[in-house]
Amino acid sequence: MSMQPTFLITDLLFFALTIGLIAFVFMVRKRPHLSRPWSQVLKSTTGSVSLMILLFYYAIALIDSMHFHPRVAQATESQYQYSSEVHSLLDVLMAPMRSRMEKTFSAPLATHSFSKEMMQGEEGQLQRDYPRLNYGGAHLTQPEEQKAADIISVSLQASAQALFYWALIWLFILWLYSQRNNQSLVTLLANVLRAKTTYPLRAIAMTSAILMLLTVVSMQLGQHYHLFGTDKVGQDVFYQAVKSVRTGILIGVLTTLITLPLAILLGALAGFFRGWVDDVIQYIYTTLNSIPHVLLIAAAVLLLQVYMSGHADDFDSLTERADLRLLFLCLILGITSWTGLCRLLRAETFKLREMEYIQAAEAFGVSKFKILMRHVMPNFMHIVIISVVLDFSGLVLAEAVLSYINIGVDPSMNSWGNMINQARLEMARDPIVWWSLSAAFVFMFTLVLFANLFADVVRDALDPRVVRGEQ
Amino acid sequence: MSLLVVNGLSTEIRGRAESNLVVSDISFQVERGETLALVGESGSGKSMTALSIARLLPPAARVSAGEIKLSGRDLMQISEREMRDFRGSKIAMIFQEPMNSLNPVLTIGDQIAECVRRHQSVTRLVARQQSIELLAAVGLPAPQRNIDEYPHQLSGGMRQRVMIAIALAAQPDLLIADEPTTALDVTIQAQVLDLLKDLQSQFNMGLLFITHDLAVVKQTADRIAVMHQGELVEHGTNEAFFASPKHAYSRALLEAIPTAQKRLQRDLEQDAKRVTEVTQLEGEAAVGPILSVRNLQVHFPIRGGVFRRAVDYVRAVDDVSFDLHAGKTLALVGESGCGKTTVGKAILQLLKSNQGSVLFQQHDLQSLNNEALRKTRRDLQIVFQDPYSSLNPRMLVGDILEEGMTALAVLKTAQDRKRKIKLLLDQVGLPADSVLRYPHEFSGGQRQRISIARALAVEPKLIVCDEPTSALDVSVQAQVLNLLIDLQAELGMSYLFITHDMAVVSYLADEVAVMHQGQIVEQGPTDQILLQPQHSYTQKLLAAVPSL
Repeated sequence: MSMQPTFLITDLLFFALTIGLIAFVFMVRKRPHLSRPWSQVLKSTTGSVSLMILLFYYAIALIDSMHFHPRVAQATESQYQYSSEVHSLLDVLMAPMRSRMEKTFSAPLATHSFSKEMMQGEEGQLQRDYPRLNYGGAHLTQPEEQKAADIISVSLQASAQALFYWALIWLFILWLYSQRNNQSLVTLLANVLRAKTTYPLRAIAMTSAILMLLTVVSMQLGQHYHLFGTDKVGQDVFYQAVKSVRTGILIGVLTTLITLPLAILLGALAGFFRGWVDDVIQYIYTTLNSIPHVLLIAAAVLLLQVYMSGHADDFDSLTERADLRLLFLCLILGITSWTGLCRLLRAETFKLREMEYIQAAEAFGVSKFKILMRHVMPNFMHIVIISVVLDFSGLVLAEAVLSYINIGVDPSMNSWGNMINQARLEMARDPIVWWSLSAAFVFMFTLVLFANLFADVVRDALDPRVVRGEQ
Repeated sequence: MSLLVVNGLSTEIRGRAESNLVVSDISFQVERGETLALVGESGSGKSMTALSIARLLPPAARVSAGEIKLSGRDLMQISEREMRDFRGSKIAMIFQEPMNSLNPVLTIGDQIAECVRRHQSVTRLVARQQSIELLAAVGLPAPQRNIDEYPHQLSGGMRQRVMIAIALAAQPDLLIADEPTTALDVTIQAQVLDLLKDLQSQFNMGLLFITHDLAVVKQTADRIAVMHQGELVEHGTNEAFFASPKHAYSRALLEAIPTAQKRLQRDLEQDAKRVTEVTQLEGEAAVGPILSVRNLQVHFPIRGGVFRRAVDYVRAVDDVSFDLHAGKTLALVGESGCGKTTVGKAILQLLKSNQGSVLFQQHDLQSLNNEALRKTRRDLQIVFQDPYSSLNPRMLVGDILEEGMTALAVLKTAQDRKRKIKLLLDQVGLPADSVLRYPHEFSGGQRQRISIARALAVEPKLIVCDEPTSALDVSVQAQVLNLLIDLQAELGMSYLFITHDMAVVSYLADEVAVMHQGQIVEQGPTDQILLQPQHSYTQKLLAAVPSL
């Protein structure tokens, strides 16, 4: 075996979540009344396109969560030595970008460094000039003349490759689809082209074409160039941005998982039982809200750092420490951010508990717990979905703010927050170093935008009243 | 020249795929000093017609054809600026909900004066003086004081009077009243209708009166136009219409109104079927009442002070006693706020009572512990007023019907329950495939049938019906009432029927108890109460009911 798999805590949580999601999908598929709204989601163009893009992000995060220690040397016949470094599957796929370090900044697709250096000329004299990069466009002998042509030809080749595979895959999918529905492949193709299929296959195919093109072209170009340039210490920005996907998704998802049970349970209890239960819960969240969140987070993160430096032996690698810090950050972010949703849900439950269907359930002697589960919670789920998505974007952004005062994720961990934070210092440079910021922005923006679009469609589909355009 | 001429008016609502014609090719006129009643059930397009005339249609709707002339000017041709001057000075509107039509943060005076000053250039003082006169004209008890009050300080009837005062502020030529009395109690409805008539003759206005209530129409209208699915199906004078309605739909509307005579007819039709039932039920009745309520009191505390102590009580139900026999229907009648719904909920133990006893089959429900109460819940069920809020919108109809059976362990196996649900749907006349549908896919009447099926699922002996038909159209109301009567004949349940509608009472009640301010002022057999009311409040209530 050439590697030793290792599981970080967040990896395990992430895998558990993925298994949970898959189980949920299977459960929904078996029940017609549950699967109806979800097929509604898939039938809408916005819904299926944004789901695809979210899945793409999710897949990147998932691949990036498969960690291992690479093998370094063979000690004996049966014993291997493993590096203490932790790599992920994504690092393997993006192999050259990870290790190709330049000295310092370089612009996207550049062949020369961004800043001048003292160099020895051909005749041995000293001169200040832009040095060639170690890796970016290193295969070109005459970068000025060849670069444009090389980039275009690599892109074209990659595009052709991507489109070829895309066409093959889609022909196969459509063939399967036509077999299942007893349709001839030609009529199906015609229907897809005219967008006359039940599911928006044309939009899905086009989205996958775009994703495939972007992936293959950027991977191919990445072999020879720094697609989004390099940062201060010469790391590939594109690689950083892709690695940050996992951090962003984890912070959004794990924090939400911590927030939701607290907010839903306490909000529903406070609104439903009122009286002293309400007083206690209100007291808790008012107190929590009156402490500045940044203070709480800072205290918690510092506490963890003290603990980690006191128990240095418990951690095998830097990555493990960074990982624990990420988990802790999600935890503390979750604990500080449930209050808003809790308050909303409490108010909504106030309204719901006066509804006549709840009184009807009481007249049946249905237990309070069941009334909460069956009559109250499903009726405020739309609020939960909306606020979860808004919070998700907010959390990704909060991470950036926290990194600014050094209480965010570990500086060694790739995250959009760290990228923005580092780029912030370079905004004043002339000419401006814009690529770190833009790369982080583009990746973050795409994720947040499609998460919002998706939530809109899901909310409409899950609300039985909106489906038919009533009310 | 006619005051208002509507000629070939069509209004459509643009949908995603196609446009939906909600008013199609209708024509009518309104003269000065005349009342035209536009009658129809919900969704017939009568409100859309009114909004088209005032050019206040919602953004999705537009007038697609026809002309509307007010004193000879085509309202479709003038600019929005001119139209603004027309509204108020030429056309005024009164809406259904007096609670929502007034701005809660402005005083009554401000709101009337705003309208006065919009259409006449007068000083604040003069406007105030005019406002007081208007309030006096609409019969507010103390206009000098009322003018500085806020809407929440006035009752529903008073607020509707204020709305009328605002509508009259600029002395319009045409008053459009969109269901102005539907949200009001009968006694107040009678006052408001009288007021409208007086003011109409005083100001010589044309009145376009929109309503679903044929009894009100008979009292107020000079001419009647019946709308059905966007079309004008019949148009004629009041006398001619009620003497011999020509269109089949008009006749169906009239026939749907429950009255005592119709009950007798129905009884005759079902004589053979009922004779056996009745004798059987009377045998049971001799045993004793199934439900007897004694000296029931429900007081809601008004909390105040630092520790939220109860400083005073609202006496919602004050010393109420009555008996209900098995298989019979007792109607609890009264106006809004009289405490009749509270009685119903207290009987079901959904609300705690302060004093008195509720004896159900000789057991006092209030002394039961939780477990015993749960068992008794099987026998006591409730059907609510609003079919929209009484069904959980996120539960399938099948689950809604099953819930009670599971909670009370009526049927043990899932298969039995499924069979029962099928039977229930059949009993209330709904298709069997309703099980996998959500409540919103059904109309108001169908939802009320689901509510009834839900109550029936646990085979109760007594059902409290809390205004089960007041949110429904007349024709649907008739269906639901007949369903209730049929089910009673079939299953022998008792109904405690809470209602404000005398027509419904006469149609199905065996006995009547009249409630006023938390107390029962009179009770007895239906015929006796309706024909020879003894108490002054009952007399007043019956006199206020418009009749056909």
